[in-house]
Amino acid sequence: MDIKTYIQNVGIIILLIIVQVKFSYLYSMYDIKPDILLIFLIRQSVKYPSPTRSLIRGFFAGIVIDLVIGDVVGASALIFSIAGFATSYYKRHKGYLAQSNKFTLFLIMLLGSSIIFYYLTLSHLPLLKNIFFVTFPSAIYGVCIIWILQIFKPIK
Amino acid sequence: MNSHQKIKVIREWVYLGIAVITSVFLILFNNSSFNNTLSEIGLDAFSILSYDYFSLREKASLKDEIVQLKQKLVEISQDKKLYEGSFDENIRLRNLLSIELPESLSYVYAKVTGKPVSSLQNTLLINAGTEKNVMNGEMVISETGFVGVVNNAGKHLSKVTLISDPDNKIPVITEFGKIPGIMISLDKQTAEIHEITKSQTVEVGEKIFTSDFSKLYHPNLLIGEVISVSDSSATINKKVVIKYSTNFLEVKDVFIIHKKKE
Repeated sequence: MDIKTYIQNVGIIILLIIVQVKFSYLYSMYDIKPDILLIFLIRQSVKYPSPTRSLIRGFFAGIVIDLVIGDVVGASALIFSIAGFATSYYKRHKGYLAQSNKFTLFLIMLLGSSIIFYYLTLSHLPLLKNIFFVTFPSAIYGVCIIWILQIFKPIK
Repeated sequence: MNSHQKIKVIREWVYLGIAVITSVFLILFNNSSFNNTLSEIGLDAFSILSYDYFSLREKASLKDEIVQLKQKLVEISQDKKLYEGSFDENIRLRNLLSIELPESLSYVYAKVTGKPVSSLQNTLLINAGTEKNVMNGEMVISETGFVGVVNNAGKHLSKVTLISDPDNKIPVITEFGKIPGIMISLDKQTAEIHEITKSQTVEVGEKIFTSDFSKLYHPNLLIGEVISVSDSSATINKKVVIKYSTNFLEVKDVFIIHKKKE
């Protein structure tokens, strides 16, 4: 990754944070919102499978969003760093991922992140209600966005 | 795997450990002054990006609104003159009965500039901060009712924790029977009122307000309306479910209730 890509990534992360904070109602359906910043971070982790870089990228993006609008400071930082690290580590270990495996990986990361977030924010929403009405629909919505992105801007 | 690669992998896991420990540290000390200071810095930095640059159309609509408000002001000041006598009489009678007058309050207007980024979050961003004397713990209302409490006040922006946050336990009172209870949120639209016994009467459609039981919350702010009452629970208490009067995802303008300095 060269310096231009670094700057581009920082710019996109800032832009996505602004979009999430100010315009999330535009893509929200029945209060289901996909975490577009997490989607970007996971895609970047697959594109550049360096666990350390994904970890740093995830940690700083998470801490920024936590400080701006987070319920619990540190929650997004923890989730984004683990998701970025795990994705890059798996991708580097496997080398090549078939399209179906890639989508499964994305889905697992989005679902896992949502479940960890549920526990960290100490939400009293019943677990099953949370899984079926929040976590699963958000993850499916996120995978749909990734699918659209894969059509127009595929990553290998 | 050679030794160089092994060291590289160990180093990566150490970095992950550091990131996890730092995050867990921040989570554990979520309401500490250190985290609040960090949040204030974050809000100040973000306020530069989210400054309200009014468009021409918005300016025009604001002009019309100002004219309408001025007309209303004239009407209200005429009404005030009519009722001034009654107001003085009310104060005199209250003094005679030794009833304490409520603390004088002022309202700070703010626009909602940020909404929860995920479905599990319960935080709003508003464009008023310490420069408008907004402080942590102050209550935020909209035209439809109680919205939340200021959690972090930056210079230009503040974070508001919504009443739908499940960690909140808000003392409430019913409209007709004046029955006290504790409200705990179920989701972003509904909440349950605890500690109302089966012998007490609560009706569907009855309004629910904040009570004066806690010093944290001002009394008589509308929270919502009862949508179901059930005696089927195994305890001595009723199961009362309410619907919030405010749709937190659609709220655009809010007021912060601010205590005037004496």
